Amino acid sequence: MPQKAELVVEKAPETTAAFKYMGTPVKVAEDLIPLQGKGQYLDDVEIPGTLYMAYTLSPYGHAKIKKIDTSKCLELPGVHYVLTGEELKANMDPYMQIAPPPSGNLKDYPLAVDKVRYYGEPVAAVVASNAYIAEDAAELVDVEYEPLPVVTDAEDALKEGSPVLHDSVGNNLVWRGVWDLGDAEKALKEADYVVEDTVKTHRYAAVPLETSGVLATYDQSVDTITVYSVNQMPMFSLPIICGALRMPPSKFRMILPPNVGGAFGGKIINFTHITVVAYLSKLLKAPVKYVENRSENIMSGTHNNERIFHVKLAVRKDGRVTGAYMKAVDNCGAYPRYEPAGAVIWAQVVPGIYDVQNVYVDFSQATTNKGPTGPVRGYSRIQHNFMWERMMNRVAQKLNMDPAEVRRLNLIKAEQMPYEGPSRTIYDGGDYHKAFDTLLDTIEYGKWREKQKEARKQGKLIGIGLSAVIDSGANNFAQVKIINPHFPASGSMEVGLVMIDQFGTLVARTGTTDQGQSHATTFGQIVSEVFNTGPENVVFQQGFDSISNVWAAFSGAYASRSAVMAGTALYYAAIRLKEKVLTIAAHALGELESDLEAKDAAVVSMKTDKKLPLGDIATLAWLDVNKLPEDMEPGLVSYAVYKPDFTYNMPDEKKRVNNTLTYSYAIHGTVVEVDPETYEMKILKHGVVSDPGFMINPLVVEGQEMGATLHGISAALMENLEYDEDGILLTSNFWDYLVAGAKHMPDIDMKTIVTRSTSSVLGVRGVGEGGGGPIGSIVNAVEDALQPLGIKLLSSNLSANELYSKANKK
Amino acid sequence: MMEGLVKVSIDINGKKYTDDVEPRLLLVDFIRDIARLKGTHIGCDTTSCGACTILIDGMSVKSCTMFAVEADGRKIQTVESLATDDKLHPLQEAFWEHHALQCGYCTPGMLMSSTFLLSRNSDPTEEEIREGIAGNICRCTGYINIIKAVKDAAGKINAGKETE
Ligand code: FES
Ligand code: FES
Repeated sequence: MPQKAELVVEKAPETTAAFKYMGTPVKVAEDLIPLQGKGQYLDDVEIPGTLYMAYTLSPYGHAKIKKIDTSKCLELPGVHYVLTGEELKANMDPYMQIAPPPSGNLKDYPLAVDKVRYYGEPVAAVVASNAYIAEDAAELVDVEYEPLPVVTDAEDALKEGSPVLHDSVGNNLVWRGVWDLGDAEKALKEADYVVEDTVKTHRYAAVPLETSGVLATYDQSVDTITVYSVNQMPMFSLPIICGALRMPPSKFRMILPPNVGGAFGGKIINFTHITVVAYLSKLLKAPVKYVENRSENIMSGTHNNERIFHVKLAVRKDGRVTGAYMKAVDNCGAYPRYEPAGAVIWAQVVPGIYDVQNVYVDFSQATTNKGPTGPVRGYSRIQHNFMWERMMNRVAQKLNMDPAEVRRLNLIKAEQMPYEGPSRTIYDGGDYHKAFDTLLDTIEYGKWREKQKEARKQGKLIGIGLSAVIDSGANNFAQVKIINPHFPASGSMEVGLVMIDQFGTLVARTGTTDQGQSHATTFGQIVSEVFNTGPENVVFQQGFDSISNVWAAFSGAYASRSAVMAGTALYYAAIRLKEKVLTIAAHALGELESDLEAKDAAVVSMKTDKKLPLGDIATLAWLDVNKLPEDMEPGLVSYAVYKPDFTYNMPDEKKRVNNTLTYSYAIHGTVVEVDPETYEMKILKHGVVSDPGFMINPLVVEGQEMGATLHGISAALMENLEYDEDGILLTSNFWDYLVAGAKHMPDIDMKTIVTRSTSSVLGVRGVGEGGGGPIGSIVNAVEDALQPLGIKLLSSNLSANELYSKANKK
Repeated sequence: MMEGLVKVSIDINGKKYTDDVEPRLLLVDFIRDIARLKGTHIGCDTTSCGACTILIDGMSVKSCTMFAVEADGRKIQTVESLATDDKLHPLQEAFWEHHALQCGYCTPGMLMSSTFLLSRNSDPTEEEIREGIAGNICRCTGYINIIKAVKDAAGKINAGKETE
């Protein structure tokens, strides 16, 4: 590939005014496809002769599998095969574990082996000629269980004598680590007050509207398994799958269809489905398809980490927080499939948005008899952000101060930017005070405080809540070395490819996979900018195919990385390509390169007005190659791998590392009214002020922020994965597991203030996860509303029922 | 005809699709697998999400709640019917304008529910729009842009009628 050894690229210009195509709210061209029902999602992909797979699921939270009788199932006409964990175990290795031994000794297979460890765990996979028969047949697999004692609480799971999930580990501890940063002990000793409390975050799920699915087919002629899936990090998942199936990744072709129906983190640990379906397609020498039904998606799609914090804050008389000391225990469910990454990922936001340098965290993660956890929008930072926001309110209560004042006093100041946190995260610019004050204005904070006083006199329950989140983006994989120094990954990278085809059209590809983030338009704007050429001349290829796409091992859309990582890679690749284009044009026109510029799908001379269309340059580069400058390699393909410098690239002995490249932030404010009789909660006002950095396409960025806000509201007021003491999930479909609909979404007053990121090339920050911003502001608001009743809240999920019983217990 | 199969004939977007189907075949599967119109999506198994919403004889229906045999002889409209000669329907135009979709998985259902709403109420209030799409889940957009789009489309359709 034509690549220059050394490439010096200036950072993109400072002001939006300098741009023509980037920075404008261009309508999203690829929206036109699903709008007309022309999208192709996983379930729309068809291969003739496809068989369908369905799972038999565990009805127990924890049980020994005594016997599996498949005879009745196999008798059903149309059934081709029944696969059990026993067979898989004989033919594959357990998945690699991130954690070192002893918990690294855990044996994880995609179908239960010997025992089931959570409700809904797949026990057998049935293949039949159509989906209806497969589902019927799955019911006919006769499994004899012997129920075992269940543990669903993480703190209980770590106690002596608790039922143990994985005998090969010996106990339920997945990982434990201590961060001792600054001097929290001294801060507590010298504090005027120690504010102490317990904070809990609840379990909910990603639930993208399209569930996960897989279509695999084995091609004997090239001995390759081709897999269509919706995995968010296909090239990272690939070695996990191939390692288990004992086959080289190059014999496993990973394809994503052009459309993926949302993901939100929930399409990463679906590599278990890919493994099973791929195995079956090779075994049966037939295409096999599986699409999760909604219950399966809710039971074992991806849950987020439940966490409990026992916190002590060191507080000065004036409200300044000088240190934090906490014990945190994370509930990762039955199998750590991306975990225990969550046990370090919270450390991207150690002090939240506040200037606190003395922090001590003792963090443990435990397996329990619940569904597996993994990345869910705001992965692991939601919990930590929420903890800070609850504790800031506790400080306010203790000191009898306004919660807004306490926050303002503790916010990191603009002049401290870029701010190095106690764990060496480098917050890449921003003006937290400005954002905070803008939010207070937006929700009319002062006015609502007045109204609240009046309302209380009339027995009305109105509350105002604030919260702030750091939404870190573009992860540094080296943070996983905190868990396991031998884990073979560090840093980050993404690839961009820009080429010009034979007719002069610009073509761009990258390894990130779109799940509704409008990559084609956004990335097209970047290429347009470099070539000073309208979007009609740029084609971005959607979908992913490991044999034709460019990719890096970390390729994918997760960790709010696409704009930062792929955007930069494409920017570099486009600049490299432009250099070659200018060299060819200079040669052809007999002009100096320095007199030429790219413009409107051509190269034009600023001196002579001579013009050479990209189509003509393409002819020279691809076909009429003897006319190229001597020694020039033919072709117009440019490729760049972007590997950012995180400054603190690797963790030190104190677990300090810059975990991500960018740190966007958002402030949320909610006003609620609680009905004093029914305890129904109604959001009267919700405001968000965020700083996403430079926005390549503001329409897209704001859409992502709005979506993240919805998820937060839905999580706080509705979504709750509730297990009973036997480990049975009580909320496993959309009737019981309620997600917010149009009637639940209040009007949102959303504003952005923009400061460029100091660490990303284009000045953008990763956005879209939102760190669960509204959860903190809603819980704070409801507690504030209930203040006259003296009700204290613990969890991140609220229900009228629960409030009612709290109120009536008193 | 194979034993137990029932002959079903359904008019979808003006074209007749006839096949022998199992009585338990869901209408949504008839639309997707027999008529091979993939714009109608499936997002749940409890008739909760609305991704499969279509119009039957002008009424909005979640096509996963009905068997194909129940639709025998009836007229169905799916998302594929909205744009004519590559000219977008005003609702599609407005959804595009307002970035009322991200992943697009809910969009066909949203559009069909909105089409039904506007056929009954040409100038809905924001509350009425929320009510009209209450049975459709969108996990991406946060609904606000969808509501704006429907409102905007209603306005444009009405303005168009006045000038006619
Ligand atoms: S698929 Fe029909 S309502 Fe969800
Ligand atoms: S746009 Fe993704 S579900 Fe609505």
